[in-house]
Amino acid sequence: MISGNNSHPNNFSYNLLNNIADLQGTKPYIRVGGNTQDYAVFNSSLKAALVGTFDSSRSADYPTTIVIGPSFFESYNTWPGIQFSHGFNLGGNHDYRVFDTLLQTIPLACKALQGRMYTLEYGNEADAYPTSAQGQVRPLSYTEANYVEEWHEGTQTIRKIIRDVCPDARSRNGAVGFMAPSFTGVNNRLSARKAWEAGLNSFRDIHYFSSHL
Amino acid sequence: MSGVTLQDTLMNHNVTMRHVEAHVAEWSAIGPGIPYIFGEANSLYNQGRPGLSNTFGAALWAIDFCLYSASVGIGRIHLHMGTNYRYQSWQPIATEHTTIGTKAPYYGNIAVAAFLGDQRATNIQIAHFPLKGTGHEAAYGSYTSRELRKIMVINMNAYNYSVADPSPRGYRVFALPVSAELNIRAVTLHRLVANGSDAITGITWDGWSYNYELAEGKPVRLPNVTIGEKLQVQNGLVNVPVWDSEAVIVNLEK
Repeated sequence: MISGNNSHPNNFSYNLLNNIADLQGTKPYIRVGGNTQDYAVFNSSLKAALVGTFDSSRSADYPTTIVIGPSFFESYNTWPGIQFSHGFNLGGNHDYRVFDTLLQTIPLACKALQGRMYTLEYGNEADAYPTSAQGQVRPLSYTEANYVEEWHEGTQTIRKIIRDVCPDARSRNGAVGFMAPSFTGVNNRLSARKAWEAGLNSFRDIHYFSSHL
Repeated sequence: MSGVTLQDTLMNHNVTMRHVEAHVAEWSAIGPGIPYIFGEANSLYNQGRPGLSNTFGAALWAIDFCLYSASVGIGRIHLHMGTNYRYQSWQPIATEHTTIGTKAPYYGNIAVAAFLGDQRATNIQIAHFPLKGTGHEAAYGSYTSRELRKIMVINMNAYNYSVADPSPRGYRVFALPVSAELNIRAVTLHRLVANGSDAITGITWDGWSYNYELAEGKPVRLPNVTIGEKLQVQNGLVNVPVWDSEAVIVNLEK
């Protein structure tokens, strides 16, 4: 992973981030996620941080079968002063282990992000789940209301487990919150506006309205 | 991906503004009451395109995109990166596909950071200055406590230097008004320089290189690059020449 691990942090990357920090007064915030967050399944016995298998019919640039182990979260121990957002898996890639992955990775993430939790994320570009070029993961009938219901189920689980395991965890405004809905843009199958009107922020735990360009 | 070119797609201020404005319209319609951010963004889809996303022209696009977004109130931009991605700002490790190193887009990120200045201050505002030109130039102002301190000028007219018989490089002179109230006689320039919009190496910011081979990404001042340029303000104007495919920060700070 780009930041390295406990024994081999990537100093080159840290130097480049610090150059920017020296000019703009604050270190860049790193959002860890993207399509690959929705493929990552957790295996507690995996020694490697991440094992990825490429399928060129889906993407030549990133693996679309991914297993992560506990040492994946060591990356969040590197680069002092940098704050991270960790993205959890909502898309699932038709893998029955996806909810178990959520339950097992929440404690690992909140512990690794102690003192450096920028925000959290659940699902990447869910508006493309019914039509993704990397494989459809929701039916064509998937609606904004369906997304909101799933998003609430997962994020309420995240908040509950963090309250139990990492009671001192904070991101913004003294609370643990999220960036959402992280849709692909403004012109796609699901509308961010309809998701918002369907009550996406009804728990008032979205700290950043995130859209992709 | 027919019809996608550096000049028409990326080095095109009107196109970039339209893309950002579509998000501003969504934000206005929703009114979420929280900061609006781009959680993932970069020049072209499918992780960028070689010959476009990895060039100096894309670095200039990134400045235009970031500063226009700042001027309309976008709170933060996460520029998308990944190992071997074409639009990456740097490649952190050597792979069979890509060399380890600092890539052209990084220099656009540096120029933006230099223009934004210390973000811990809450009294800095970025303004967009509309220009009458070819649609391939852009300008922004940075105000501290409502006083103009810096102007960014981006000349996004493409220039290809790596062809067999390159044409002479054009330049444009930007006549920037400097209010007499600011009481400034001269301005200093910081230039983002490369051989052309098709350059993928050899870029400097105010004479600094951030290349991996020099000091593992730490800044190194190169000896053969002009720095410390000053221009006089005359009759309330300063005339700033900018090569095609170049960006300049004009500093009004005393």
